[in-house]
Amino acid sequence: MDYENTPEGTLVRRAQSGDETAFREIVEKYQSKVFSIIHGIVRQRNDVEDIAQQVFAKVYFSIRNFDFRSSLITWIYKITVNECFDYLRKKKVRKLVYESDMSEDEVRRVENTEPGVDRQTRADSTLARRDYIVKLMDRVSDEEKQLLMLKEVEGYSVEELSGMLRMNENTIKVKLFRARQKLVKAAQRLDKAPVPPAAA
Amino acid sequence: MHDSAMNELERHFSGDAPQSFYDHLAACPECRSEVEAMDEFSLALREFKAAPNDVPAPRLGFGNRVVAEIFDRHEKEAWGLFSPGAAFFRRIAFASLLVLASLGSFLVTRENGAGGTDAATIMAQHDAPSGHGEGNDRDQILVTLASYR
Repeated sequence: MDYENTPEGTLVRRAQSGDETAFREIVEKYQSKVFSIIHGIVRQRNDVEDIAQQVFAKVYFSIRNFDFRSSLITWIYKITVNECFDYLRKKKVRKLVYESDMSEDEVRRVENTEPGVDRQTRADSTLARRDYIVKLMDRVSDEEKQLLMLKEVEGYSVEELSGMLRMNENTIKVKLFRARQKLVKAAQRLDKAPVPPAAA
Repeated sequence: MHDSAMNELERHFSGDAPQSFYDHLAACPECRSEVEAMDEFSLALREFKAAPNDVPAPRLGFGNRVVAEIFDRHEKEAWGLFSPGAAFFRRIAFASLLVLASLGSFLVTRENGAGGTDAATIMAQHDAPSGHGEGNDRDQILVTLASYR
């Protein structure tokens, strides 16, 4: 069945024609997913809701441009990822509070087991690594960012991405390859240093 | 990177590349180093995955707050059409100055052309009897205005 004629396609059509109830349904349906994407990238519990609001406001104002080439969630995913990286670019990852980067369980575990100095080193290393990746992700296009995130973070296969984005599998492979190459080259240009090691 | 390696690269990142891919990497240092560099970014990107238990749940009424914000923006945009802002007032002030300057220069050139600028000269010129016309009346008014203190 053509996506446009699915129940979700109909919901989008209603939202496109200005139906506020349809838009609320979209928010209800995808708010948890959006929160999850934002928290994964930003790791700032306090800012997740603000960013999510921005995301849905963007969805509302640009839903008329949604052309049904991908599913609604794929389109919302792209908006969310861009919003998160914009946020990080503006805020500078280094300024993020250390504890917010870990789950509550992690914080408790670290507090109980690790000496203060180790904890600080670990936090610095995690933040430096995150900062570095955010900087590098700025060097790839929005589409490449979306592809990388869907593949690496969401764990979709090339076949699944091909179906979701209505692109040939080889096109997906080539786009991902170019995006990865860009990251490597950007890292070489940035400081000729490898990615900071992951915190143990 | 060789085509054969590139073709299986994404399966490698998904953890299900065929043995032939790794055989190729073992024999090709160029592909191996490129894949190793990409491996690091693949791992780094996975850090953006949220821990499912740690994601904050949307608070009650989140949808309402979103809609409220949207209407707020709508309202601001609508008022934006009618509220001129500082730039508008700057333009108005600039345009007024231009009009005043051109009007002033027009009056000065007109008075120079008439042969005298002080009120007494103008009055002397206009004391001489002359035919009454519309132009004279206008001049008369101008003289009165110019000599008025």
